[in-house]
Amino acid sequence: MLFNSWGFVAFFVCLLLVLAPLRHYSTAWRCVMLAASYFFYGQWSWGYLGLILASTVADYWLALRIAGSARPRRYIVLSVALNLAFLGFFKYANFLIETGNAGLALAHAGVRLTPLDIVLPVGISFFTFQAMSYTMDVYRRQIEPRRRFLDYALFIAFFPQLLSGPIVRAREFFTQLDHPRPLTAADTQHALVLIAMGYVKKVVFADTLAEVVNPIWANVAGHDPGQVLLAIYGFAFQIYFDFSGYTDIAIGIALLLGFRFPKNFNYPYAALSVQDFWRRWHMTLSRWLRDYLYISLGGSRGSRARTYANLFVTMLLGGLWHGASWNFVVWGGLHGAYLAVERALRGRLPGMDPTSLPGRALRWFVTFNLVCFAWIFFRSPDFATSMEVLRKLASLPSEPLHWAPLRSTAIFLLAAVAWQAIAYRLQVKERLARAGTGAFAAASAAMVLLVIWFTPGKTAPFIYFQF
Amino acid sequence: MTWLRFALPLLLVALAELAFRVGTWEPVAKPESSAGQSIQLKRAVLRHPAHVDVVTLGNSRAVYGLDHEGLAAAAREKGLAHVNLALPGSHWMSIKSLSDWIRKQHPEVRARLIAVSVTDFVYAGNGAYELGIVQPFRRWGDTEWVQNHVRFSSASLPTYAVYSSLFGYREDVQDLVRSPGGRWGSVRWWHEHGRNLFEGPKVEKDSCRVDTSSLQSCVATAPGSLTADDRIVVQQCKGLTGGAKYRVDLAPFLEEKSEPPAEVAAGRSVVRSYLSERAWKGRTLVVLMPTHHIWLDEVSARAVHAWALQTLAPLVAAGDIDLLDYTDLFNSRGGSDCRAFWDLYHQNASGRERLAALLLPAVRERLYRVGAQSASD
Repeated sequence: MLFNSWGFVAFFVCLLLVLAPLRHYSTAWRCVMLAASYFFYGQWSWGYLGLILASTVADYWLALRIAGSARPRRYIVLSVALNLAFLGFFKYANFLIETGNAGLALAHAGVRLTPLDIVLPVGISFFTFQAMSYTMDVYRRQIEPRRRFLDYALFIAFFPQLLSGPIVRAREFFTQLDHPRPLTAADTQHALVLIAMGYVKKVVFADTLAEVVNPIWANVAGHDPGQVLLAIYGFAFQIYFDFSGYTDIAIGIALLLGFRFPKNFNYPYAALSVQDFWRRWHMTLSRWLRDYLYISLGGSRGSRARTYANLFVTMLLGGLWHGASWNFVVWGGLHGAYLAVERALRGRLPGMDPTSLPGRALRWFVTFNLVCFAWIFFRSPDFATSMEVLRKLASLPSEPLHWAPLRSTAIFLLAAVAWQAIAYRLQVKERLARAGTGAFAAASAAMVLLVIWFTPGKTAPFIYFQF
Repeated sequence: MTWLRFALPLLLVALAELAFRVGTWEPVAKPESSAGQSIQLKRAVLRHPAHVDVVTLGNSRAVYGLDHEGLAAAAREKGLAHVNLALPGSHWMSIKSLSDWIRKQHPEVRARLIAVSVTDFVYAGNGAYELGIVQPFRRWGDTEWVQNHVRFSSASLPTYAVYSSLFGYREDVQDLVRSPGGRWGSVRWWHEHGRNLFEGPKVEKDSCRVDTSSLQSCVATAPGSLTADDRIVVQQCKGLTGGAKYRVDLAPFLEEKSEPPAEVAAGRSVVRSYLSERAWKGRTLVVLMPTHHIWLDEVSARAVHAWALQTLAPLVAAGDIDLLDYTDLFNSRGGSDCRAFWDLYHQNASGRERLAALLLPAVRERLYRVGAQSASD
């Protein structure tokens, strides 16, 4: 069930109607919410609902053991191993088999391992990370384990964030579950603005960009270098609108259910450094990687070299978290290298003074293009395509630019950039959330009209569902 | 007043829907789009100060295949005004809708000439694009009627226009945003020139360089020898090959002893109910336009010609309509006369002239005769 489907709209409206009279009956509210979340996931696969249940039961029990045991280390190791095993089996087994086969072929071993027939469970990367953060927080004595299974099951399966985040911390979730806030008019307005903007981002911008850039990515060799360059920039905005649109809708839906989720995006393409980019892009994943991986590796407490290595390894694993392919490894590795080099060069580059306008402009330009360069590996379906894209880029200066086929794509891309720039400069989302009746109504109606008029014929699933 | 804050956006959207429904968008709609062509026609009729006596309705086969100037001149000789309301892409939904609209604008209309092809008798609808054609002529409360022709599907955005004019102009708004400059130029041109209600386009070229003796030979025509126009014909043949594999056979249903598939039965009932409705008080002349043999023999439903005649037979018998059948006018055993067609659908100037030689006397007799009223009078 996609957020951008009529089925979901009907489901959510019915759910709100059922939940409304249960506001003062917390157990009943939680039971209905959990059942709705399982139903939501079951619409994709009832079979894999068992996986969520198994993971939930295991981590619930392990967290209790961690808190109650004199030797909690063995249980946290078990929890992390179990979650990584889930992820590893479903997400990386075939990647490892294929990599092994490549190695065996190189060694002329004459043996070939058969890939497993596995379908990747939707949202597995998100709910396993959320489960791991819970047991680790319990282990670090940052939270008490939940005694009530229902609460923990709801934390894992809560449908607004189940499939693609934001990755919510247990403390953030349980505090709000225990102390429900009445839904105010201001919250409702804020939620509706987020949902409307999310839909505009997804169906108007992301899906339209998908229509123009996907054919280029599908046949890089058959397109001009100029078109390929445009497809790279196009994808940068497509994935931003797609994922941040999803997140806006998820946060808006959660708000209507009484939960304030952490921000996940903060105008990432306005970043003036790669570090700044990661403070603005998929913020809850960055936070997770920082708190549970980077810091666990030692963070910046060791030598410089060790800090750079930690940054690199964290981002490399962050890349691998997105998907099992060498492309994601390279994408993560590139970002790790960017961060390490950026840290090493901090304050040493002339002309990049963040306090001067030219310095800021140069920083923005370099950052944006570094990020876009890394997107090549993220978007390419395989490594050969990435190499083809690089070959096209290399031939860019020598080949004439054919403007005609680029025109409409470039205009749309400019419209998307302008939308972002205006939203950033004027803080449109934040202002609309607090706007008076007239402005709110006019803006909301305008967004509904945008969705009606500019939704392409085919809407695509959210990109991050595949992770 | 919290409820007002959250109801107001929906109210504004409803207002926008209302504005589109009453035609606020029409002055800026793309003149070449489906809705735009209807709007140009609507404007031309509304600007036309004189009376309207006879109207021609039909799709692009009527647009290109009829001698509209000849019909208008022949009518003028009798002191009548015969206007051309044929619209490319029209099917029964738009024909009926336009027919109702013109009767409201010009109650003095005394006759209509409906020019269609036998292939138009298989189904009631012809795809969601017809919602665009009908948009400027829609009435309040006609949703159910529209649904009889184009089924609403939640998975298909164009069909949302069944319920909403905002969706009806979706492509038009998108096109305006894509190329606003071009839009103003074309709107201005149409505003200055407008559509001529007494003329139709004339195409001189023919389809003789393409071997249209069969769909297969047409597709196989060597591209080297073809002009851009010829390539369009080959392209049409290629486009029709897929559909040709799924032809319905209507022969078993001709006796009306067994029921045809539901959509085909619905098509027949829609045609019969339109053409027999009592609200239309004038005469109705149905002209079956010359149709390329590829359509009859390879693409459209089997026995489609007999099916069309069988559909119309009770109407003819009851005196609701007059019928002129020119389906095979340009067909012989060897196929269709390529000198009469400029593609697989339409007659060229020569075909139009040859048809006019037969049609004009018949129309004079049936529609322009002084004192002629409805066939049932």
